[in-house]
Amino acid sequence: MVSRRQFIEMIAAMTAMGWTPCRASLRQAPVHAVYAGYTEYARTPAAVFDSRLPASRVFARRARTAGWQALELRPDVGDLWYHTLRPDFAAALYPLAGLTLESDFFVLKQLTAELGMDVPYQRRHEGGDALVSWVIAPRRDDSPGPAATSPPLASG
Amino acid sequence: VSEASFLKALSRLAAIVGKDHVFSSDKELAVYLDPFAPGDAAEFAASAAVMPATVQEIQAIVGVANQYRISLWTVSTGRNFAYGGAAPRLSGCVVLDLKRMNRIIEVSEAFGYALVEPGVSYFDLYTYIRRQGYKLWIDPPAVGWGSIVGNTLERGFGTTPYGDHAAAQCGMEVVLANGEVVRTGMGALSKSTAWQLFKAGYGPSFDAMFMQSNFGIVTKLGIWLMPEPQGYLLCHAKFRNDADLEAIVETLRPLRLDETIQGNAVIESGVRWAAGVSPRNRWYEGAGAMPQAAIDAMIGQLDIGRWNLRLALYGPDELVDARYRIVQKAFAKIAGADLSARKYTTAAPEGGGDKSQAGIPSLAAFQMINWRGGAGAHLDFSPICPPTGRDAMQQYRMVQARAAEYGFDYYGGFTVGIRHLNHIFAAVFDRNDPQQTQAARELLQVLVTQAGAAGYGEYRTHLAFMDLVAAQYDFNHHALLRLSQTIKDALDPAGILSPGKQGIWPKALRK
Repeated sequence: MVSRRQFIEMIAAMTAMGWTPCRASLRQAPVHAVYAGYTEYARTPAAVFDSRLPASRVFARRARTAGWQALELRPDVGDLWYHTLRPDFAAALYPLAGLTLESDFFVLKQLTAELGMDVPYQRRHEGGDALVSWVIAPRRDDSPGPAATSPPLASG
Repeated sequence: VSEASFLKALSRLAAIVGKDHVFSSDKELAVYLDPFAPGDAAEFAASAAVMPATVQEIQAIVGVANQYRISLWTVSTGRNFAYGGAAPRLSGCVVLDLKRMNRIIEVSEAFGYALVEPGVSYFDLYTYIRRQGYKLWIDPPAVGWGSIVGNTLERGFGTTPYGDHAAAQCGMEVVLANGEVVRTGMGALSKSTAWQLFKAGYGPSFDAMFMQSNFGIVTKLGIWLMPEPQGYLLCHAKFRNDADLEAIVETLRPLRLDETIQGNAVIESGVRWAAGVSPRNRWYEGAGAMPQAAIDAMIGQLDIGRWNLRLALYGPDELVDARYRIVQKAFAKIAGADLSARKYTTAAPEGGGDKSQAGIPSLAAFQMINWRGGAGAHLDFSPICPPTGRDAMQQYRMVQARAAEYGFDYYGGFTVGIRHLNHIFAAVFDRNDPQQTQAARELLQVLVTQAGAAGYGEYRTHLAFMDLVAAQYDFNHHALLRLSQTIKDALDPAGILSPGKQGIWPKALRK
């Protein structure tokens, strides 16, 4: 069983430039085991990526290796939302993790907030062409509220 | 309103819509804060929100609001970003959020119209029409996630021949402040057969009165839809010089007036085009507005123009070809004008601006917020400009100069209607940077005032500037605002509907 905190740390490490897991506990665990162990939600999280961005493509590859669904943002985040995510979320909410442009993160954050999801983790990458790593997950009563920012990790 | 009274009112609202559709915690209300607020978002914070699902529920909510003197701020889906989003002008209002009212009531392929509720977005209607196989197009604004009703009431615009959304509206249903339900135009007949076909009806017409106003709550709206054209051509043109703006506008005016160019054309600055494909730090990392040399290098590397024009031509091949020959001949008179075009019949274009011209909604326009880095946001200055080269240059020079003084690039452009230009300048800022945020706000104040002094008024503005913009419309000591106030007092004596919208305050709150 992997905790929500460990899950978010894992995403933070996976979306960091250069892929350097920062916690010894995670370093010891195979990636797929971490993903598989995250059982808080009924459905596996999905990775949102932008095929125009090399770092995002790497993130998608890692996610697929772990057995996640990787969702492409292009050609338009609107198509992803209206044709895939909104119909999916009507059945059940599940977490999203992304390495995308700020604009696409903004759009998904706004749309998911109305469904009771929030942002337990976000990190903007310096000098990275407006790149941001993020997690959007169904809100929990003890979560810090919408758009809370986790402290930056040491890696990446 | 005392806290006890407010809580009683919330309890009554919950009895009407169900407790799951009344929100009052900070966490729940966060979605009603303006994400692009030019300062503290709490300046325009709601005290609660209520989500009705039917007209009858709205009537009951209005009754509660009158009884407890609760102010309601109506939003369709609340995506009026850059102008305030879902946030109320008056802090403490209860947001009346209509997104649960999301029925597409009727689409007529034969007559080319749709009748929709406020919660229907451009994406929703587009998807529905495609699934039904109707040969109809919608006209999306630059960002297609918003409500059709909301955008039309705010007089938004797109780029197909049906790009003037207010002009394409036909028939409304409105709940008044006293709870009465009114249908406008031909809808005033109980057995109406032409509600979405003939705008005027019989006697005075009131539809326009419910646009950008606080006189009623629009619950249904008819919108005309363009028959799918046999084909279309998208034309891009690049221009080398800043001063070319004058010739571009002069060239476009007769072509729009005689409708050789059937839809709104769009003239975009180099920065606006570049911001759709790249962040600013790729071109310039210094403080203040980008120097001309950096802009020159950027447009050279991106192979774009100092000004960039998009226009579209629609119809049978022969007509499109004939129209394009006229356009080519007209622009050949501008030295260095570089036109390119592509025809479409079945395949759809991919870029956001191109998709809009083909009636396909997109969210690509949000890429602009990546321009400055950080938590991107923008605040828009939107003056109407007469369609002359001289006026366009005057507005451009004025905005560019003031923007540079406050450290902003000229991210702007002109949407070319038949007899006017919508000049849109966006102050793009990092909302996590208090100095940039404050500078954007101060810049907008200066622009509104300076434009007003020159005879240019805005068609739309952010909550923070609604009173300031209204003040610019000062003919005969603000006679128009007094007329609005007279209507407001007659229709909504308790002042419960959207106080302060467009500078129209109820009597009790007037200064």
